[in-house]
Amino acid sequence: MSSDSSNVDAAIVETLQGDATLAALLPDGVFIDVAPANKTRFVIVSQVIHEDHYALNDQAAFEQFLYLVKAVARDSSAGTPVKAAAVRINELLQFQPLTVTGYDHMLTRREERVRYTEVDSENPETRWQHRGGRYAVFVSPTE
Amino acid sequence: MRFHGSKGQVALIDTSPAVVLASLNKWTLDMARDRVDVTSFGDTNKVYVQGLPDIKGTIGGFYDAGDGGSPAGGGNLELFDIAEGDEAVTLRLMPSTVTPERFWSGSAFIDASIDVAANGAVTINGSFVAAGAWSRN
Repeated sequence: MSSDSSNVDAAIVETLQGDATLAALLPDGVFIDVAPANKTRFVIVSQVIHEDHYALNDQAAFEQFLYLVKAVARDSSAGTPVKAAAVRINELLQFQPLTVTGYDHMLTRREERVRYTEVDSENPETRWQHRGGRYAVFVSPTE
Repeated sequence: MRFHGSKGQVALIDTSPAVVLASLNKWTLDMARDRVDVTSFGDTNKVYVQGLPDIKGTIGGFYDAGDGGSPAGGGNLELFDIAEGDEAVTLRLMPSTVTPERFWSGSAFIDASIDVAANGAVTINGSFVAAGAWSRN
């Protein structure tokens, strides 16, 4: 039975969801690709690219993922927590072990920093702050 | 019939069952023969005589400590044990497991190297030369 690449997504989400410090900064949660419409402070995890690397005899050698992991928050008069949240995300992922069902974890590290401001699509007076990074994750299947 | 290299295989066949080296992703085999120039006066072009094949090749792949660091556990550290030892081993080089009856095999001395870079997987490379007769099945 081959390893399930979705378990890598799940492992990252679980790592972020399980952190109390990050939850205090972004209480609306961690979501894959898109957050529900009514959320204003959350983390997005999104797969950017994925590569399979093979050895002879059709052996899966390792998989390489690139994930966008970012803190997203709507501006308020009190500012946004994205700066502190991005730091915390980096602490949780950068060079940290990751437990993934069906895989041995090789490495997680940030490849690029992400920071930008988005104008709200419904209210042009409102801004959304995005800050985080694109993280490379290398895993080798155990199955 | 043509084949994709993804189903290639490198194995050690001194024991039964054969020990397949895991996480390798390429092998090459060079069977070039010696040729000696015997061109003589009056020849209209160069003339050669042919000698024996000089069997040698390479293997390469990803460093794999396996489960317990042995081929039985799916690794390829055995390659370094062989390179550090004094004994030749019997290699079987199979272009594709689709046709397992077709392969090259023979006794070989192996050298090994390892390449570690910060931006990629750890890779290994080996080169071998014949230590005895080689055959093609």
